[in-house]
Amino acid sequence: MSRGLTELLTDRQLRLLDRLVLQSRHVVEGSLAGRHRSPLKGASSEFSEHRAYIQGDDPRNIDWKVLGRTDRYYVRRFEDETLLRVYFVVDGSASMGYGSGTLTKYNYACRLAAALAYVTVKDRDAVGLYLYSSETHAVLPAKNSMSHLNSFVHTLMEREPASKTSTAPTLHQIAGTIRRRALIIILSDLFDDEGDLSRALAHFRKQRHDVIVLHTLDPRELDLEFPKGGRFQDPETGEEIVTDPRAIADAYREVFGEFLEQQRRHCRDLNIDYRLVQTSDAPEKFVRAYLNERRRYA
Amino acid sequence: MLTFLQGIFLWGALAVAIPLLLHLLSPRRAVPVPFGTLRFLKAAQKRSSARIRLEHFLLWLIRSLLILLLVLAFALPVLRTSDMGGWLGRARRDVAIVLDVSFSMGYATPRGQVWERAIDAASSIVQGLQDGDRVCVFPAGDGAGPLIEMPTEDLDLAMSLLQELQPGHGSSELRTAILSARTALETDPEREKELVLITDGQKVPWRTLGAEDPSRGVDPELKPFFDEIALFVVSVGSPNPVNTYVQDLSIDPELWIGGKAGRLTASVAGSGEDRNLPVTLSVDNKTSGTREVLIPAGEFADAEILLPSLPSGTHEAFVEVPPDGLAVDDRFHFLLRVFDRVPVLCVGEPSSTFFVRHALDPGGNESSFDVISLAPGRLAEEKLHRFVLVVLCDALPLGGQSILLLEDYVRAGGTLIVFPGDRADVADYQSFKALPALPVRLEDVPDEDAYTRLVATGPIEDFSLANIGVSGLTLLRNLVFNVPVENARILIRTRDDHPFLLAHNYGNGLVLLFAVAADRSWSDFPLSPQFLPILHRAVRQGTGMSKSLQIVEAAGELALPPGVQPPGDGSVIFGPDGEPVVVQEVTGGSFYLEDATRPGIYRDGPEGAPLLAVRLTREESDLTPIPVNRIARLTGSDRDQVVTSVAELLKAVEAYRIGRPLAELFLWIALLLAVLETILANRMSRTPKTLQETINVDPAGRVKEHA
Repeated sequence: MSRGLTELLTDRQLRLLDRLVLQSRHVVEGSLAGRHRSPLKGASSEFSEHRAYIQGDDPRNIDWKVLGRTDRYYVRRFEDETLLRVYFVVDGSASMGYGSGTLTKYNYACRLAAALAYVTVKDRDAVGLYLYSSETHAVLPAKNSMSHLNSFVHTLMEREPASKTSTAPTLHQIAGTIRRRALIIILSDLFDDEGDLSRALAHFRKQRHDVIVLHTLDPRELDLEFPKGGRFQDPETGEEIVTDPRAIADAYREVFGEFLEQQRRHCRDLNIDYRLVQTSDAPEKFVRAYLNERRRYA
Repeated sequence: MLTFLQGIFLWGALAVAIPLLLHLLSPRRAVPVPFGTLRFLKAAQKRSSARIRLEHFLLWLIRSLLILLLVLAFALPVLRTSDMGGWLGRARRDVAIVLDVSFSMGYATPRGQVWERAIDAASSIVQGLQDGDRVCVFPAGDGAGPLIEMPTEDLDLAMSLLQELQPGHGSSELRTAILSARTALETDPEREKELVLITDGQKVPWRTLGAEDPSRGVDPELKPFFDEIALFVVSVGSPNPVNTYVQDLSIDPELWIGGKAGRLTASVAGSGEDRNLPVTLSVDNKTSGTREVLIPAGEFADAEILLPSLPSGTHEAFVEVPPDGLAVDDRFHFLLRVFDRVPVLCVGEPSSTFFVRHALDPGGNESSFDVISLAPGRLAEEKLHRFVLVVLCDALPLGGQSILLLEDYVRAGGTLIVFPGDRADVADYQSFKALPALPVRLEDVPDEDAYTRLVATGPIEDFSLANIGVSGLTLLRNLVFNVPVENARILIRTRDDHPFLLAHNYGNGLVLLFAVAADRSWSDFPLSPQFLPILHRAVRQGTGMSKSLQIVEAAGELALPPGVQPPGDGSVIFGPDGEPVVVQEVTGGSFYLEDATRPGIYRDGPEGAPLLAVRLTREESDLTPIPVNRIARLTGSDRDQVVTSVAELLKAVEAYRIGRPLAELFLWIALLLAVLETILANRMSRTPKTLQETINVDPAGRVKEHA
């Protein structure tokens, strides 16, 4: 097993993940024998037809026999069996660096991403990574090798959450980059403008990607369980306020509840799979429950 | 005015500022607490800022008030109902006690006599006085003089006099006693003045202060006095007293002749609830009869009891009701004078009195009348009081002394019948003030008008011509009268509307004046069929002044009624308990007793013949209570200063003198605030419901509908 992956997941966790698969709800592009259907005809073990070569096509697909016969360049097109491309869009902004327990939200998101990436790669599907905060800090293309997975994990672990969040513009940018239909898994606390965020997610859906939003939060952000008042500091802006959480708990519950409901509603309206995850839950537990459910509905 | 007995504790009020100072001086937390984002904290803070500010303000306010109230309670606040003489000195006071000494104060309750409680109240007031204070005491009762007329510092003397004081046999005289108290309290304007009225709560004493008129407030004459002083009223009587008493008596016939039976009617009244009670008559110490009677609450009922046939003479009697809380009025004493024959005095020459004498006493032993003839000139020598009736038959003119005697006789209750005659001129009647009218002329009637009919024109009080047939008669001469005096009535007229018989109630007696002589010289009236009945009716009217029934009301100085003569030496007679009562003689042969306040039979010797029956004033037996609010209105007092027990009186006095302590009230309020503070603080620090408790997230992260 790769050294990078084991830094995030234990052997036991990995064993639990061995039997799981990640399936797309929608028809996506990709190549993998026998599981993900794709509307596109591409590199498959079953030949479909020839198409004239255009600049940019993979030269490996050029049918040399046709070239010998006709002196013209044609590429081979294949059907059915496709490789699932899973892109992980991970929020690495300063707010993700908050954690009331042993794990920060970022650490938790990394573990989730690692677990899901492992399942994907294990199933010979490809994983890619976009790591962002106010801008995109790291991009890994979709590949399906274990070494790539290690690079995936390594890239995640290198990053310290910092700077402000700019989720919406970054998502738009990422959506513009991923041309072929894929499964997009967004791990973020979504502390951004709801309208902008909704439009960014809609961009993904417009391009017919299957989108999963794992809304990553710390339990304290939900419960505001502080024993007394204090001077609270925003990690992104450095702004401070003095307040007594006990006194504003009811109002906070209302406000935060409205925020969650809005995110959920936007995702539902866009047919995006919205899930709320808390850093207090075991990552493998969530992954297992989630993938089992996804498989039942697929 | 609010004052503090331990004012030094008020410095503790500065502790109210401590929470505020702590809040202002406490350092801000040096270490900031990182959080994911302040976005939602700020939004929540904004949404709940008004409520938080209000809650914090309320909590601060409640805590500050709590500290303040505790501080004030320690400082022992008192609310004075009047101003003190000064912070550093205590004003000395004069206290006047007006104590009801009417006989109703002897009412006995299961908790003891009302009088004992009254003395207890008065003694408590005296004992509560301090050095330099003075007291005066005014019993409120008939003829009661002051016990201590001017304020004195000798409190021991006041206490001993109070212990010796007893209730009297008369009614209350609250107003008189209050006026005396006013005079006493006005002697030193520099002192604080207090007036304590102690009564049994009966309505009767307050009548002189306007209790009967529901719209009446404070007596205008007393209002300035009441406004100036501290007035306390204590009603120590029973709130629902029960008492029955004989209110009045009457007998029939009113003039009782020996050997004949009669009927007594006792009017019995009661306060309290409806009761069925026996009423018993005793004559000469023997029970003569008993009658059960239902007495409605607050009303009276008549009990009729047959009077036995009694020999002539004066008989002692009483009517009795069963014993109750007020024993002194359970017996109603009276004397029954039974006549052998009714003594009548005829004044005039024999020829003038002939017909009257024979009408009243035809001869033999059948007549009830004992008619004595007297020449007019000897009238002044006669003691008229022994006659039930005096008839003047052509007796005028009379000397001035005789006329005065006659007027006194009528005023005392006697009946006088005047027949004119030829001896007197019109002018001879002018000095006779008791006559119902004065004649203006003597008129000879023409023959053609001689015959006339008589017309009865109506009764005067109990004098009625009912059942007497009034027919015609022949008039030869008659007196013509001017306008009758006030209250005089024309009982019989002639057909020509001239008065024939006039009547006038003069004092306690009656004067009847005929227009014709008692003989045949002026008319044939003496021979007419109506002469005898009219004369007899007049006699009965004259004797209808209850002469057989003799009762007088108790009084400090009591004039002996006519016909009641003290024994030979005239200096003392003996009261109901055998104690001597001094008799004083006044000019003109009248007597009065110096002290006839005890009810019962007064005699001419320790075991002697009865002379006088004295009864208590019946008004005082009505124990109907007066509402406390009414007393407060009549005196202009605060409701708190009109009390019904000695304990309440002392508390009211203390509250006035020292002040009403408020520490307990403040502590109760502080306790309430502490409870409120606990509730509010707990509410503010309660663990609120979390989002996790309200939203439903499954293990796969799916958010279901909110709980």
